[in-house]
Amino acid sequence: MNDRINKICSIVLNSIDTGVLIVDNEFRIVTFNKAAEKITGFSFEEVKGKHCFEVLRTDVCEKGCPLRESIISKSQVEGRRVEILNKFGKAIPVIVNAEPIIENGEIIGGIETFKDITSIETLKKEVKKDYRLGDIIGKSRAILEIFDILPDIAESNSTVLIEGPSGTGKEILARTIHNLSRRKNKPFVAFNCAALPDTLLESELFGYEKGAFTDAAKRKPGRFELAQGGTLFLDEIGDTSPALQVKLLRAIQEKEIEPLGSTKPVKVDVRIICATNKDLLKLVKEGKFREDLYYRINVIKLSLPPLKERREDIPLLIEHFITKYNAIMGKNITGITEDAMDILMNYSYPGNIRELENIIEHAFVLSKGSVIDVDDLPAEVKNAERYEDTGILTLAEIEKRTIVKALRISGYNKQKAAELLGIDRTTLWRKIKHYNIDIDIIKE
Amino acid sequence: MKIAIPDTNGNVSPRFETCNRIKIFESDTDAANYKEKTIEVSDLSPFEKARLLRKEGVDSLICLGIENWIYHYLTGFNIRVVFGVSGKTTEIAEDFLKGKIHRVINCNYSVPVIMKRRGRWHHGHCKRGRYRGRW
Repeated sequence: MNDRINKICSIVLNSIDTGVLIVDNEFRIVTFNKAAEKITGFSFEEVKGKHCFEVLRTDVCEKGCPLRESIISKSQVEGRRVEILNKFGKAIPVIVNAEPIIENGEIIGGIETFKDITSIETLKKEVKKDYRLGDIIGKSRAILEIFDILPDIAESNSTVLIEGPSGTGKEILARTIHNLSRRKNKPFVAFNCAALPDTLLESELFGYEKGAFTDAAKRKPGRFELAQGGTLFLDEIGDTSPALQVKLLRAIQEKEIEPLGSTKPVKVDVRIICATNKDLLKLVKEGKFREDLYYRINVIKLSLPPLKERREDIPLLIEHFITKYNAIMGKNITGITEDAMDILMNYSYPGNIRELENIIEHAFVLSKGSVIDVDDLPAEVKNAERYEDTGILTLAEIEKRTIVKALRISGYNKQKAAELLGIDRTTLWRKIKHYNIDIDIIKE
Repeated sequence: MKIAIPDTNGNVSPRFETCNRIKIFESDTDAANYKEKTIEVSDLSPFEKARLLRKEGVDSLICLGIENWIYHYLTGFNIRVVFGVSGKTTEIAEDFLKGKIHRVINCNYSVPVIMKRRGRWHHGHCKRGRYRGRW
């Protein structure tokens, strides 16, 4: 009878989607269900007999362990938010409940249940844009060097200029600086200087007084005022007109603005972070950007490299986007095939991280299974030429590309393509087979 | 050689980021003769703790748990990180200085790269592939 009950208990434990961990009175694991295995990445065999802190490695193991608390107080601890580390070093937010196991008045162990809330926390982060240092993803030298100085930059009040091509994460970097700074509880206001015509730009940035122009029925504060006490992020600063540059210079230099239609300057306490995808120094030399403004905003310069120059970060970014889109789309994609990874590692990413994110989103929409495969990637990525760091192509690669080009020019007529290439039709057939050229794929 | 171990009551702390003190062991050539010092780090953020190791000129960090981004930061600046180690801090330090502990434990993928063999999925984490290492 007891065996039967144990078997039923085991089936019940393994069928629920909440991690269950039972420890003895020395905090050694005696039971670990399937959901716990899935959340932590460890199998029961690996954790059996180990201390729970050796496996979960939570942020509260040292101080505030819910299981210890429940055992000491001989009562249930409910709904505690804790962060465990899975087998692969990834922090997993969980909600923990803990309860002591008491037999004949004596504590013989404890039971802890934990539910993975990664999806909820990922969505929360997306909405709040509450980025921390660990949210800047990368292990390349360029990123690590930014990492290294970011807390010091955040602590200072100096103006920051972030340079980098489009889609490299300039705004995330700016938000991280803000969140690490003493201004974190004040507003972060992002503004794209290329989004509006000059006249609107001025009223958006500096605001206007009632009656400043025909439709100005009431006073409207500008972005500088909205960011009071916090941080103003001016994206695409290189696209501003010379007239606006003068006004920006005054606002940054004097820390005061003059709303349209006002004669009284308004004091503003705002930290300025500027970003551009242009070479500002070149614009200065060409006379398109004011030199004095350039030196005013270029107190601290951070340069974000294009993704093709930090390829070692691609797997980390893919992992991050898989977690993000699992949360957004409610899917359970667990990995990526080696072939798909190979393509993504060798793509040139003209749109940088933003493009990689779009590729993963595309794959999520098309993927029917639990892993991203080559078929799930966009056609232009699958068929793109492999990015070469050296710029030198092998002879075989040149031959393959020339054949593909000839096929395209000839409208995929092999006879015509062979004539263009100056080879026999059968030789072309042989080479197409040799290079594994799929005409249907190149047609896409 | 200079090694650091996050310490809690004489044992390796469960997590580097939340440890309250770090023990630093230093030896020249004789592993049996080492200098030991303890640094209180309860006021420091996880990143400040990592930066402290760089400032101290530590060669290796031995710990039980460490988050990926701190791991990448330290290894990126040539600090070797040996994780998944538990037990008495001093014994572990002595073993490490004598060269008895040298493995990087549980080095694996966060998101598996799955190899396709003969048209079928080969499940599990790929340990031999091109993308080996901790992400």
